Amino acid sequence: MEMVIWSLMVLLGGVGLVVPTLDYLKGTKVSPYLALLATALAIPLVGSLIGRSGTLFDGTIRVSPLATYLALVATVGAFLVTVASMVQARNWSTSPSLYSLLLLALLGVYFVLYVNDASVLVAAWALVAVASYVLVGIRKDEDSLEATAKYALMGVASSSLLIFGIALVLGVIRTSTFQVLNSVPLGVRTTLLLGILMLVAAFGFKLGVVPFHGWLPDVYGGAHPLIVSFVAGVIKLISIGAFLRVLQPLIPAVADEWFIIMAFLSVITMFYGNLAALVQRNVQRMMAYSSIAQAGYFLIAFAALAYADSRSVALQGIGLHVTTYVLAKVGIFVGLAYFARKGFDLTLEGLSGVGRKLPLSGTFMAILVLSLMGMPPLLGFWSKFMYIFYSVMNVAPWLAFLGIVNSGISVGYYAQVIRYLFFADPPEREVREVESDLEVYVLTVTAVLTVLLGLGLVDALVAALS
Amino acid sequence: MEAAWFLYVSAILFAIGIYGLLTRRNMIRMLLSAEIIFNAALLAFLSLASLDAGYGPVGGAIVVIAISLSAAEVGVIVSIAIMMFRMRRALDVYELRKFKG
Repeated sequence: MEMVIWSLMVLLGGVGLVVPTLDYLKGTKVSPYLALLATALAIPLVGSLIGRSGTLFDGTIRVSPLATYLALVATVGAFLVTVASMVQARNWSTSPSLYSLLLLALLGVYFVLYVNDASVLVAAWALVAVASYVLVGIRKDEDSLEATAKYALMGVASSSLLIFGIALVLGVIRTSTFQVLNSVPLGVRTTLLLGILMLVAAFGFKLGVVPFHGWLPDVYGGAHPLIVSFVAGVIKLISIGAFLRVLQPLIPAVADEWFIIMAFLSVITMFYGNLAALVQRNVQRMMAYSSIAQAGYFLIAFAALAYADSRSVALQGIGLHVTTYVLAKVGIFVGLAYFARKGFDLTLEGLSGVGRKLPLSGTFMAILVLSLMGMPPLLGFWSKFMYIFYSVMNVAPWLAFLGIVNSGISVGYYAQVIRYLFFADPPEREVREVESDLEVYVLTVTAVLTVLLGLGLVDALVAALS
Repeated sequence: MEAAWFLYVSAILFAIGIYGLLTRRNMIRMLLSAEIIFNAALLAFLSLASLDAGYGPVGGAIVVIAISLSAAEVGVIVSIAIMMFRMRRALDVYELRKFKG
């Protein structure tokens, strides 16, 4: 297994570091192809770890089936974004750096997902964070300037809170390895809780949990949609991975408080995200608020981790919902980037009738939106209703109820998108889908996977997760 | 216990940093506030690590890693500030608010 991790490091890190130097100095344009090759090769490499578990590198890295699964989803997401960027980013002056940062950030995501030691967490977190600030600002125009300024400032606050939280938690457990903590002496319990709260704040910043969400609408709504598809679809996995690896072992010591904190945060996050999305007219900003709402659903599953009898369903739910979320967000934002390239304005009125002019991408976009909404045959229904909401049914039915209420609210804006895509008058000018539009292939892959996984592969997926 | 005094100082620094982050609008000042929080965290880290002979050196090593990595973050943020100053002639983060939510 160590060989696989080494190969991933050499493949992604090596290509990521060498490619921009080559392209900027020699004036070649090989970076998109090398990045595509590297992400494509990373899929089987990560896939070879499926079902394996064990600790590597003197216990600093721990491989487990769930983490491998999340890493696989992240790799597929990064691959799809790279495919879409071949058309989108072709004329950007900074495109070699874009590919370099995509690969380095992906490598950092792996290490956060597999982390087992605080030093690796600090290093991998910084790698992903710095890469993502630059990625968001890579267009160097006014919109990305605003986005990256807020993202970087909030990010550096989040990193400081991370160090603070690690300091307090490690001060209590007296070791740098994250291991299961069943109980703590009464005297240091407050310190541990304070540390956990700081870590929740640090990870919550990246996930978009409500008191820490201030940057998210500006970044997801202001940066280029292609970049957002990577930041929302792949980089967000670091906070889910950190929740699972860093905080989950500590939960048994503070189970009741953990449940209350998570339930409270999830309720305000869901309501804020869904209600704020209702009034948006810009579809990209609407999807940004929908990301906040999805973070609320994840928090329900994290709350369910507090008790032994709901834990296994919650873990499966997190794995499944990550699949739904990554496929949908990568697909939707790549789709929005495609519509923007075809000359459509990304407001609801601007997207009027796009589904009739561009039938293929419009249909797949609608499928992905329906999956986020939780429409029955699609993957989103299984992950959200049958796993995440079901996981808290025995411990807190009211939380599941509030989740269902929120899914109801979310229909209000998701249906709005579909209505404008298909049932409004299309613009007069001539636009067509052509074979060289790589974004359509990305939309096809994400939508077909969403349908197929929803139609019958859910059981197989769950078996692979547990 | 002597470590407690260092933790008090760390808590005060943390409060100063949060106050600065919430009230200031200038990008460099916000960065300095975040750095104060970061230094408070390092102080807490080291003072808690000093309590345990076995874990102490490990904590010190992690602090050194964190310091060197935060330099990268500061570098990126300062370069963003330079880009902002070139484009806008101002460093006010909230004046940027072009989009209304």
